[in-house]
Amino acid sequence: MRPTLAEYENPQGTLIHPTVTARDVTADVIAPIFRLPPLTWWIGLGVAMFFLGMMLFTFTIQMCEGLGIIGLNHPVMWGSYITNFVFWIGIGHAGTLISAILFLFRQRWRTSINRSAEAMTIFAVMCAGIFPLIHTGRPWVDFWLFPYPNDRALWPQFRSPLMWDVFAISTYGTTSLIFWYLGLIPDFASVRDKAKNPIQRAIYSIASFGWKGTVRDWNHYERAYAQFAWISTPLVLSVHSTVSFDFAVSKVPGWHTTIFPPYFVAGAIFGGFGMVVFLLVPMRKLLKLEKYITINHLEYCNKIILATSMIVGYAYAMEFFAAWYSESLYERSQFIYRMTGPHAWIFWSMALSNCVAPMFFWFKGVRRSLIGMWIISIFVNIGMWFERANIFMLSLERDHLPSSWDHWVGTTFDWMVVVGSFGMFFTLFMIYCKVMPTIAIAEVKTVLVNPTGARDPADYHDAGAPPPATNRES
Amino acid sequence: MSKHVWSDLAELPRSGATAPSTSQPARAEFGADVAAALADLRSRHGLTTVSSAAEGNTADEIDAIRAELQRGVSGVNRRGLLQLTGAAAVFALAGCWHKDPDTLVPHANQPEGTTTGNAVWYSTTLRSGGRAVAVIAKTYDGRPIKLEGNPDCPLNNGTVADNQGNVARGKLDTRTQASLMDLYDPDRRQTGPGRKQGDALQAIGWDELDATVGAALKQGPVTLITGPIDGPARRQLIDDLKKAFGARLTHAAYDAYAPDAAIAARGLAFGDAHAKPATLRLERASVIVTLGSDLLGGGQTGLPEQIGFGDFRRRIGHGEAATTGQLISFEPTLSQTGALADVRVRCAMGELAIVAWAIADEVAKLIGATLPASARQALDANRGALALKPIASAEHAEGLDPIAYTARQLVAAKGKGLVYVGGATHCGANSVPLHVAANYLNAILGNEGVTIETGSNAASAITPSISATERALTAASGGTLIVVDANPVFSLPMAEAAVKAATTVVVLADRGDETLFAGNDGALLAPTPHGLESWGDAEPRAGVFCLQQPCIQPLWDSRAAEESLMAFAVAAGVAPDAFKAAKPEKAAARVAVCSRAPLWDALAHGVRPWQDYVRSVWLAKVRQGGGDERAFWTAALARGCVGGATAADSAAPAFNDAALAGAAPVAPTAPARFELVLSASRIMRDGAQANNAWLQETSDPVSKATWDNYLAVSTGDWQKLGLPWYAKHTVVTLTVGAAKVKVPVHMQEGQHPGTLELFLGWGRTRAGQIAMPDDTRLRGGIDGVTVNGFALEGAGHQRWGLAADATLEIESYEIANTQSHHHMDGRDVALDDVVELHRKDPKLEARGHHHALWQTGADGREHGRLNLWGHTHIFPGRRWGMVIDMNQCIACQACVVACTVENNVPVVGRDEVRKGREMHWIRIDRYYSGHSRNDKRAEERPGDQGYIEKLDVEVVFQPMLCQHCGHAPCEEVCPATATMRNEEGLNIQVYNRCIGTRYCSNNCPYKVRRFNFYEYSKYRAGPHGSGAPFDRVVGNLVSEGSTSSQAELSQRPLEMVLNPEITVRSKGVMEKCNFCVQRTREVREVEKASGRKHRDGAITTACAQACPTEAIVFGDINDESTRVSRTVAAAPTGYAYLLLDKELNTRPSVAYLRRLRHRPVTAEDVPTPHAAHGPRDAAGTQGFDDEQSSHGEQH
Repeated sequence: MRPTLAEYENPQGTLIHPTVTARDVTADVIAPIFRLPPLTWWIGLGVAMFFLGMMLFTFTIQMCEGLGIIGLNHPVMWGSYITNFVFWIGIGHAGTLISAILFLFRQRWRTSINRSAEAMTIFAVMCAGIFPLIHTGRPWVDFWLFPYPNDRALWPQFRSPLMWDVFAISTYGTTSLIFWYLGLIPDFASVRDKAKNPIQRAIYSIASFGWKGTVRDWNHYERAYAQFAWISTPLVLSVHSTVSFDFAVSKVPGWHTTIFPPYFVAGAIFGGFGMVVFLLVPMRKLLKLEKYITINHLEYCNKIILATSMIVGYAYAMEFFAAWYSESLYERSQFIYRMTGPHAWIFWSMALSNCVAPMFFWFKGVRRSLIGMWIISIFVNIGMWFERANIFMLSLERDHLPSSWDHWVGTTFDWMVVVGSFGMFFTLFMIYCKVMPTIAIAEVKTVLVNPTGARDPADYHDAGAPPPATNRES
Repeated sequence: MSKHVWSDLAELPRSGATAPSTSQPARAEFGADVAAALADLRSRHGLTTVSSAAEGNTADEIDAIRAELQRGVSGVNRRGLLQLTGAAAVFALAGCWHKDPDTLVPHANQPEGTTTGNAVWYSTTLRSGGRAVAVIAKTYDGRPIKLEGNPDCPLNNGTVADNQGNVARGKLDTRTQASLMDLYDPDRRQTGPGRKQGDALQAIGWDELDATVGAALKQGPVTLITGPIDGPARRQLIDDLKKAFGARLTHAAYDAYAPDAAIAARGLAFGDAHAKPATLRLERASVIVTLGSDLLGGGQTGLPEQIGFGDFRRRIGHGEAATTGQLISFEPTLSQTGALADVRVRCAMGELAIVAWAIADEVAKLIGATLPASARQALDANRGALALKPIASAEHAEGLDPIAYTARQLVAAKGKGLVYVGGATHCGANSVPLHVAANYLNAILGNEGVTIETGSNAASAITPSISATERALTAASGGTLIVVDANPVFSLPMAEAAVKAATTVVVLADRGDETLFAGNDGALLAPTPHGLESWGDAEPRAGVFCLQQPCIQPLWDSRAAEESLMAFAVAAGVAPDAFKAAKPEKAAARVAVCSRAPLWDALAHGVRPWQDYVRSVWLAKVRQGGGDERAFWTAALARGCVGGATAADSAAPAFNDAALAGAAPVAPTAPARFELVLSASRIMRDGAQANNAWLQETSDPVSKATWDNYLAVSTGDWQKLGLPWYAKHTVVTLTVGAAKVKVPVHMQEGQHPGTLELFLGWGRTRAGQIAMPDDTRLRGGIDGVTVNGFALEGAGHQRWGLAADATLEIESYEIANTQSHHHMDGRDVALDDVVELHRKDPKLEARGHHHALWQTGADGREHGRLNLWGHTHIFPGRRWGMVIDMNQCIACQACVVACTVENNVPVVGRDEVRKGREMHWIRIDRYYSGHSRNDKRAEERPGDQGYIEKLDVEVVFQPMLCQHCGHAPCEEVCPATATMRNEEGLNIQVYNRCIGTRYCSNNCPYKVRRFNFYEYSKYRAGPHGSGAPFDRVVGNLVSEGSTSSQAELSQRPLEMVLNPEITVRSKGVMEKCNFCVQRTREVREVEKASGRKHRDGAITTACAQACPTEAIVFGDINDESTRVSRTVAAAPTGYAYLLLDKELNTRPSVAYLRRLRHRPVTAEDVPTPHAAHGPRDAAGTQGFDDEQSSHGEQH
C-alpha cells in the first residue's frame, strides 16, 4: 500500500519522502520556471510592487524636500528607517545560519530550505542596505562613508560605529551573494539542460558559467562551497554584533548596554527563522514543493524559534535587571518609561509577540501545524520590528535632559516605507520563485533514500518499519 | 580620399581649363559656394580673367557670385564653428545656475573709510514697545545685519559690579534685536502711499497724498495720535505742530499698556504734582515684592529694568558674606517674575489689595506707623478671608506666615526695598487701589525716591495715556485723524467707531494696519520707514539723549513720519518757518534700495528735511556750551548717545492719607466660577511686532509656547473644567460677559485655582503673512494666533477680575511648544542652593556634591580623566569656555534672538515647532520645582493626583547650548568627521562635510544639535510651518498661484538680513552652537596682525553679548586671569558644576553656577544624617556621586 504524499503523513524523522527520486527532484523544482505562473503569483507580485512603488515615491519626495517628511524630531533622530534597517539585517541572519553553520555542522535537513533562506538573506540585506543610505540627510554624498583616496586626504572617522557598519554590511552582502550564487551554479546548469526555449537556455547557460557536471567541477564546487561556509559563519555573529554597536557604544540610556551583541544576534536568528517559516509555508504550497519542504523541516525551524525566543526573553529581563542593578537613574527611568510611558504598547506588543507567542511551540501539535506556525511567525516578525522600535525610538525619546524629551510620531510616509520595504522584499522573492530553482537540487539529491526509484516503496514502507538510515536525521 | 592641402595658389586650377562648379571631379567634394569662392580667389589674384568671356560670366554675374559668397560662406568655417561652439558651451554653462539679480548694488564707488568685507558699525536708536533703546548696528555693504546695545548709553549698562568687578555693558533686549527682521519684512508697504479702497490699497502719489491731506487740514478739528514721544526734536515737532494748528489740534500719545492707573494712583497718594510715571531703580534694591505684577515680562518695563534686575540678583561676596537680592511674589498666575521669585505666594488677583494692606499693617507695626483709617477698616473687614499657604520652613513645622515674613524682609531692607505693582494687567481703573497700597508701602519704607522715583523722567517726554487717547479719538469725529506709529484700533476697543467717525483718516505706518482698514474708504496710508532707515532722536531718561541715524537707504518708497507731518502742514498752509525749506532746491535724486522707486525729496517740495530739523534742534538744545557745531554733530553721530549724567532722583513724597477717601482701599471682585486675567504677552508685548517670525518662534519664558495665544489654566482647575487627563490639545470656549472666544488651553503649573490667564498682543489681522492665521485650520474653527485678548477687556480697561467661564470643546488644537516635560525627575540637571545653607557650607560638602571643574594642565591635557582621544585633544594655548549663572538668568530670551540673528538660524514655522524641530542653537530650559529633591514624580498624565497638587512650584531656568565637550559624544560617532575639535577647544561642525546621519544628535546628552529637516532657508515659515510635503510638492502643482500656499511666500528681501560671515545651511546637515566661531576667529586674525593678545572680554559670543543680566560669561578658560576663569575659581566647589560630566565624562567647556534661592531653609533642603542613603539615593543619583561607582566606571 503506497502512502499518500500529503505532507502531514510524511513519516517523522525523514527529510524527503522516500518515494522521491532524483528525476522527480529536478522535474519538480524546475517546473515553475517553465510554467506560466498562477494568478496568485501575479496578484502577489502586483501588490508587492505597489508597495515597493510607495517606498520609491517616498524616497523621491524625500530627495526633493528633505528628511522632514518622516516623523523625526530633535530627540528622536532615528525612527522607522533605522528600525527597518536593523529589522531586515536581522532577518538575513537566519539564511546565513542555515546555509553556513548548519552546513558545517552537517545538518542535512538544511538542504531543502537553504536556497530560499539564502535568497531571503540576500533580499533582506538589500532591503536593509537601502536604509542606512537613504536615512542620511544628504544621500547623494553617501560615498563619503567609504574610504576612497582623494586629494584632500579626507578619511572617514573609523571610531564611528556607523563606519564599522559600512564594512560589516558590505562584507556580509558580498559574501552572502557569492555563497548563494555558488550553490546556484549546478542548478542553473540543470535548468539550462531542461530549457527548450533557446533564449532561456542562453541565459541559464551564462548563469551556470558553463557547468558541465564533471567530477572536476564537483570537486572544485564542494571545496569552494565549504570555504565560503567557513567565511560566512563568523559573519552570522559579527554583523549583527557590529550593528548593535551603533547603539551599545553610544551614551543613550537604553542603548548603552553590553548585552547588545549576543542579544541582537539571538534576536536576528529568532526573527530570521520567523521569516523563513512565514515564507516557506505558502511557498511550498504554491510551488507544489510539499514533498521537499516537509513539515519536519518546518518543525526544526520552529524549535530554533522557541530556543531563540527564550534567549531573547532572557535578554529583555537582563536589561531590566542591569538597569536596576546599575543604580543609574537614567537607565532605570528609561526602562520604567518603556513599560509605562505613552508608547508602552510598543513594549508590550514586543513582549507578547517575542516572549509569549513562541511558547506555544512547546506543544508538538502547534509546532507541526501549518496554520499555527504561520500565525506565530507573523507574531515573531511584528514583535521583532517592535523590539527595534522599542529600543531605538523609545530610548531616544527620553535621554538625559528632561527638557528635550519628545515623542516620535510616524507620518504616512514612515508607514509607506515600512510597508514598502516589505514590498521590495516580496517583489524580489516572487521573482526569485519564478526564475530560480527554489530548492538546492543537487544537494537534495544527496539525501534521497531512493534516488533511482529502483526500489519498491512497499519494501521499506510498511507499518512500523523504520526508514533506511540514510534518510534519517543524522 | 586623401585631403588636399592648398599650399600654393598656383595649384589652383585654371579657370580657363575648368568650369568652377561642375566639370572637375576632384572638386566635387566642394559645393557650389566653395567653387565660387575659389573662382573669386583666383580672380582677385589675377590668376585668370574671371570676368572674361571664357567662362561666360558677365560682371553682374560675378558680383552676384561674390554676394552669394559673402552671405553663405563668410564666418562659417572650421575655426569659426569651434569658436561659436566653445562660446556657446561657456555661455550655456554660465547660464545653468540662474541667479536673480540683486537690486542692492554694493558700492560702485567705495565710500571713504570702508573696506569691503569689513563690517561698519553705526550708532543709532530704535524704539520697541514705545521705548527707545540705543543700539549699534553692524552693517555689511550697506545692510544692517546685527544689532547690539550701545555701550556708550548708560541705559544699556549695569551699575553693580560682580565679584570680579565687572559690570554689564552694551546690552540689548529681545524685541529690539528682533526688530532687524521688521526692516526686511516683505509685508511692509512697498509701493508708496495708498488710499483705502474696500479691502485693498489704491496707489497714489506723494503729491496727491499731501494735497488731499493738506486740503482736509485747512479746517476742522485735527487729532494726532502718536506713540510715546520723547527726544528734543520729536518733542519740538509736536510743539511746532500745536503752534501751527492752534487749538484745532488734539494730540495724545498712545500705548496699549500706558500706565494710566499707576499715574492716577501716584496722584492720589502723593498729590497731583506727583502724578507722573515712575522710574524703577532695581539695581538699588535688595528686596523686591511684586503684587500680581510681572516686573520683567509685564509689558511696561524693558531693558533698563532687566539690567537692573540682574544687578539686584547678583551674588555678591563669598562664603558667609555671600548675598543676593530677594524677590517675593504674590500672584495668581505664574509670571516671568514669579518664576524667578525666591518666595512665591499664590493668591487671587482680587485678594492682592488686602495682601498689600496686610503687609503694610505688619510693616507699620514694625516701624511704628499707623495705617490710614479707611485702609484699617477695609483690612479688618477682609483680612479674615485671606488664607495664604504658609511658607515652608525647617525651623517652623507649621510654616511661616507669608505676610509677616514679607513685612520683616521689607523692613530689614528699609530704603532698599521695592513694592511693585504694574504691567499691562494693572493699567485699568480697577488696579488703582492696589497701586495706592504699593505707593503707601514704598512711602513708609523710604523706598520712594530711591528704588522708585520720578526725578529721571525726561523733560521732552509725553507719557502715553489710554484715557487721553480716548478723549482725542472722540474729538476726531468729523475732523481729521492722523495716526503715527500707533495702532489704536487693534488694542483699544472704542477706537474703531472713532476712526469711522473721522472725515479724513491718515495713517503713518509701515503697512496698512488695522487702524487704516477700520477707516472708511479713502483713508490714507503714508508709508513710514523703519527706524534703521530714518532720522530721529530720543531721551529715554532725563539727560540721556540718543540720536537716531539711518544705516541703510529706505528699502521701499517711504517717507519719515515727521517729514510727512511737516509736509501736511506745509500743504495745509499753516506750517511755521521751521517746517519750510530755507531755500527750495533740487537735491540729487535718491531711490529706494529694493523697489528702485525715486524717494520723495523734501527740499524739492519746499519742506524742511527731517534730518535737518533734528540737527538744528540738537544743536540748539542738546549741545552744551556752544562748541563747534560740526564737531558736536559728528561726535553725536559716532557715539549715538549724548549726556548720561545721572539725573537727580526725586525727593521722597509723603503719602497723603486722605487720598484713600478717593479710592476704596480694596477693589471688590465679583465671585465667579473663574476669574480671567489678561496679561501682556511676554515675548510679543502688544503685538506691534506680530509679523516678526523671530519673535513668534521665540518661546514664552514660562510656558515655552510659541506662535500661539493660549489660555493658561491651573492644574487644580483641569478637572473642574471637565478636561480629561489625556486631552493634551484641548480647546475651550471662553465666555467673558457677552464675548465668546475659542482658545487652546495650556495647563500652567503654579497657577492659582480659579484664575484663568489669557495674553494680549495676539490676534493681529493686518500685520502680514507671518501673523496671519492658518486658513485651513480656521476652517476647522480655531487658530491660536487669532485670539485677541483686548476684545475681552472690561469697562475702564479692566484686565483682571473679569468673571469668566470656560466650556470644553470637542476640537483639539496643539499649541506649538518647545518643551514637553517640565520636571527634572530627580536628576541633577539645573541645580540650586539656598542662601542660608550656602553661607554655612558654600562647598556643599556636607550635602554630597563634589563636581570637578576644568583641570587643564600646562600641557593642555585635562588631568585625572580618561581620554579616548589620546594626543589629539590637547589645548595648550587658548580654550574657549563659558560660565552660565542660573541665578542671573531671567529667561528673557535675548540670547536666543541674538544667536538667531548672528548665526542665520532659520525660522521653521509653527508646524515644525509642533513636531519638535525648532532650530535655536541656544534655548532656555525651564524646570518646575527646581529643587530636584522634591521632584520625584514624572507627571506625564495631567489628571494624576500628583499633577493636581502641582500648584506651588519653584522654577529654575537653565540656558542650554552646545557644551563644547572636551570629550564630545557627538564627535566619536560621526562617520564623516564632520564634527571635530579645533585647536581652541571648540567643538566645530563642518557643514559641507556633514552627510546627515544624525548620530551625533542621538549621542548628544544635552540635545543641542539641530538638524535641517527641510531647506528652511528657502521658505518664509509662518503659522503654517514650512508646509506639509504634499502641500509643497503636489499642492503647488495643483493650486498654482494659491495664496494659501506658504511655500509661495518669498524670502525676499528677508535674505538681506543674513550674516555673510556664516554659511546658510542647506537641508540634510546638522548644525549647532559654535561659540560664534566667526567672532573668535576674528580675534585670531587681529592678534596675528597686531602681535598682541586680545583683551579679555573684547570678544564674546552673541548670547553673552546680549544677555541683559550678564548671566553668560565667555572667555579663555586656560588663562587664569580671564573673567570666566576667575568666576569659576571664585565659585565654591559644587556651586559651579559641569552638567552631566560626572555621569558621562563629557568634560564640557560650559560651567553652570547654581540658582541661589533666598528663602527660608525647608526640611527638604537640610541634609539629614541619612542623606547619603536617603530616598534620593535609592533613585541612584547619589550613587553616581560616589567615587567608586563613577570613577570606577571611567578608569
